[in-house]
Amino acid sequence: MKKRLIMQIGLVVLLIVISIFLYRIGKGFQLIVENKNYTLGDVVYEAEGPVRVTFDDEIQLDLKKNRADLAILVGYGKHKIKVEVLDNNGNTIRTVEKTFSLSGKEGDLVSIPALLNGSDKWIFRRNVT
Amino acid sequence: MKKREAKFTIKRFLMTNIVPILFILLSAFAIPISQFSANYLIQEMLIRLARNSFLVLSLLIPIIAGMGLNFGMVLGAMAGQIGLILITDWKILGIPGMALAAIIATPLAIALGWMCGTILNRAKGREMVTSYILGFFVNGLYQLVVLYFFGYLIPIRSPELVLSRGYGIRNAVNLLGIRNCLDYFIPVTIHGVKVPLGTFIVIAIFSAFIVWFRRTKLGQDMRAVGQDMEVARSAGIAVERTRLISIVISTVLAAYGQIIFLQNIGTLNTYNSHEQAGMFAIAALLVGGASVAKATLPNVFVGVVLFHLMFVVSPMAGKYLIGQAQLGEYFRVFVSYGVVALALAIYEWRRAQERAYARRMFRGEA
Repeated sequence: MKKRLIMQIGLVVLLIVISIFLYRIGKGFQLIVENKNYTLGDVVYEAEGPVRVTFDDEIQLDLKKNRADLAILVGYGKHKIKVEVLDNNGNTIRTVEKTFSLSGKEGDLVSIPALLNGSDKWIFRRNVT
Repeated sequence: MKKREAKFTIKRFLMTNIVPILFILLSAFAIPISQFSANYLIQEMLIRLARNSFLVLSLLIPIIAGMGLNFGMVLGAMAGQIGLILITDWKILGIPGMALAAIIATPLAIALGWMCGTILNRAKGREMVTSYILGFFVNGLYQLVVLYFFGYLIPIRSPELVLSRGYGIRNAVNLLGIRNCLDYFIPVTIHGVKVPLGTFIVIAIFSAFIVWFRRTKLGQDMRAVGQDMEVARSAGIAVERTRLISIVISTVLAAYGQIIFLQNIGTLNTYNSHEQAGMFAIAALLVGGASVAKATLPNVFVGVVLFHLMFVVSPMAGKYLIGQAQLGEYFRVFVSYGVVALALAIYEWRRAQERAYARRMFRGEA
């Protein structure tokens, strides 16, 4: 009887652990990707364009200058971003790749100009007013 | 006592397979009139096989246990839908989302199945009508929970899900995050026909489970209970417990079946999706040649194909034949309910015949 109870409790704990694991690997986060001029303190990062943004080698966005789009990334943990600056013929001029973590809350914003110019604050939570 | 001969006769064959034969004839008549291409029909049948087979398979275990067609499977469907609403609110996508919905639905389905099984044990011989009415009762509870408790007692954050008044779930829930995630988990296309291989693998595993389950001690107990409850009780089988387990298993599987069904559809109709789940699954099983007392795996797959073939071709056949697609719609509703009525009537007629035969045997007249 005691052994059976332990088995049942163990099964419930296992299910809870699996649920948490599924939650973490399956959670979707909406990300705003912006290719617009970005001001950080006194520095203004100028938008370049057009750019091709690829997340985790799967999600691809093509952004012209002064445009923004949405991407949905799945799972907590590390993600990969690859930004290709294109010329007017669609050829890649420059490529920047980085790994990053999401804040874990809705409304993260990626500033492509800040990322291309080497700023540390290229991903942040957007302040909703 | 003389053993009743089970000799093959055309009359016996026709009587046993009257429903599938009727559907094959109707399909043979309607397919050329509908003018659908073979590719289109094959694609539709593959999608519908993937969409519905799991739900229909969940009906087999109560039939083995002699409890007839489990109209109470809608209870499981409701549990599955609650899981789906929660994962949609939490924005859990893809296979992990489906799996999490199944985990959330499992305890709910077990509790509902246990309740259903307990009640059915008190209504022996009237399981089908009792489970049917129980479905309506639990539907009321489900609506109370979804319409008033969600967003009020159970936190729901997504504004797309909650009604404008601040609580209650909207009529339609978009399941874009999990749509077709299982179906096309392994993408396969043959001659332009997309094969939902992921779901077929799950269905194959489940079919193998049923074959294995029938050979286990519990499966054998269920068969014994299904054949004769008193004899099974005399043999030391816990009849009530066995029947209860069969309903719990069926309800849990129906919850998973509804999750698979809705990931294929991609939209959850919060207040209606579950209502037709039981009736259409039962109709499909009966169309496949199953009866209230006997159902096999081939019955499931033949039934789903024939029933849904009729669903696909009848509106177009109606349009080309009479100029009104609406007629085909009426026809398919008429057919789905009509086939349940026909199967139940044939079953009762056969039972009456068997009773009469047993009486004649007892008197020594046969």
